[in-house]
Amino acid sequence: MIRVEKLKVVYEKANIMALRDIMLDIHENMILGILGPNGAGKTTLLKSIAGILPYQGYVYVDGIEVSKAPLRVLSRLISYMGDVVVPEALSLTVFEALLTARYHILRKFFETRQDIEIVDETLKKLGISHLKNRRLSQLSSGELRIVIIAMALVKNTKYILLDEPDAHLDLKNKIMVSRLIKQFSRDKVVVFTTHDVYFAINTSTHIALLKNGKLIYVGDVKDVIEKNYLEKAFDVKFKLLRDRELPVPVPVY
Amino acid sequence: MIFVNLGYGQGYAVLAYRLNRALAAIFVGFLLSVSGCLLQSSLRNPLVDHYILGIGGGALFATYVYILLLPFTMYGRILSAIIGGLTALSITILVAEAIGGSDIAYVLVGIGVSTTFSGLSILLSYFVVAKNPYAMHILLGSLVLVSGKWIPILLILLILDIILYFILAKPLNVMMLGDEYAFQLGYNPRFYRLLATLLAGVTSSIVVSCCGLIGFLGLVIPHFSRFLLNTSDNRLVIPLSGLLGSVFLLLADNASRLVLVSEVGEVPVGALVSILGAPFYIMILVKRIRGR
Repeated sequence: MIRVEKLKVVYEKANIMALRDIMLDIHENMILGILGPNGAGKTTLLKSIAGILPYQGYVYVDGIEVSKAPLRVLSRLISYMGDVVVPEALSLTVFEALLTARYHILRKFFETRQDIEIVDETLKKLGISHLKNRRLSQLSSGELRIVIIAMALVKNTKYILLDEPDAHLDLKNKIMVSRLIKQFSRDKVVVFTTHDVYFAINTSTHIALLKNGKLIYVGDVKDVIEKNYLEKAFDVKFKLLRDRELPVPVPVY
Repeated sequence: MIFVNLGYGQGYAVLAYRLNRALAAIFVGFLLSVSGCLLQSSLRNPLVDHYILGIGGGALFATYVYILLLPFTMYGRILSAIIGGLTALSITILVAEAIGGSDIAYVLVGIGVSTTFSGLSILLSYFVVAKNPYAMHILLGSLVLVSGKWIPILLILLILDIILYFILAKPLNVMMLGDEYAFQLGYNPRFYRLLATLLAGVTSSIVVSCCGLIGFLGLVIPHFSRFLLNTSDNRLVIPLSGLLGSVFLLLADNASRLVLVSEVGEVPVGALVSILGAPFYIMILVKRIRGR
């Protein structure tokens, strides 16, 4: 379980309070979508949970306080995947990049046959074996996003944090990434950020709505839609289409 | 043949000189190539080496200042080179980061810093030569006057490189994918970047104080290694770069000693390496800018 208590993040140089008094519990088997407009603090919240950003307050992952935990301990609990930097002339291949996701548990200098088999199996499960020897710099945005998810799976931690896994993707690739997240979230806790309402409601089991650094609401997807919290978060009117089990919020232009 | 023609005593002297020079070429080639690898991976910038970042120019300038102003000792010379090289590197990093920190920013600022210190070194060389005529050799990058006293120092640096390779290779691999990615894998990117740039800065500064500016070796050899291996995995690229750098500099030094000789003397090996390396650098730069 992830427990966030009175979390506050201040960017001191810019004198901005990015997050204030965030209280959040994320339980087993949850897929939590952190949704909100630009600048709401979604990425800041995710990075604080991962221990990448300094914060005030408390973040506990399986009872371990993140800011006090050694990096090695955190690396075995949490995978944080944001944008992966790909300098062209220094680019690793997809296979090599996936192998780096095993470094935190490698005892030897080079990987073992088991590590290689895990990577090959993950590539096969995700249907991207054909990309194995392609350099990361040669991948399309959609392919790179899937590879990033593959890296999280190869790392095989209980908690997977994905920063905007749907960014820069067309509709077809968004649906593919959404299906992948749902497919591989069993026995794991997945937390992702997005500002795409449809991606969030179609992928998550629960949604946390952020606005101006504050948590407006956390609840299951249906509650978030039915109780009109989306309007409060986005300052936009939504119409609910009720012709299916889960109402579909449509923004009014 | 030398033994037969010159007699035992002189033959031994020639052998000692040749052996020193060959070992110096092997060690210096290794150290500069590995430094280039470390700088490129830690700064995520394929366009840099100790020369481009200004470390070489800074180390040379500081060495000349030391020779001019202070009583000459070998360790004083080494320390002044380290101070000069790391100062120049710090200036490059601070200014490049202040203007965005892109790889082109590092190149532009580094070349500015390098040119400034190299220009100052040329200016100082006119005064240094009056005190120590042989100091001109290190301005141009040459192994001609590397004495046997340098060999143990270069060997220690090589051993240090090998030990730290086992500590740095995997963190540098993950850092090439981004600092946040490295962090969540349990590696503190700031620590490893500092360690890698310090190691590269110190070793290349000491090399400059020994034999002067030999630019582009640390830039070109790592790229060539990546091309031959078809990978950027530092666990493979770093050792191959060291090996190729050693072989390349040994061959280049032999070419400058045996082939490129005039009435004045040998062409400095630094000049030969620059002639071969600079066009390759331009090619990488053009490819990089076209890729934007």
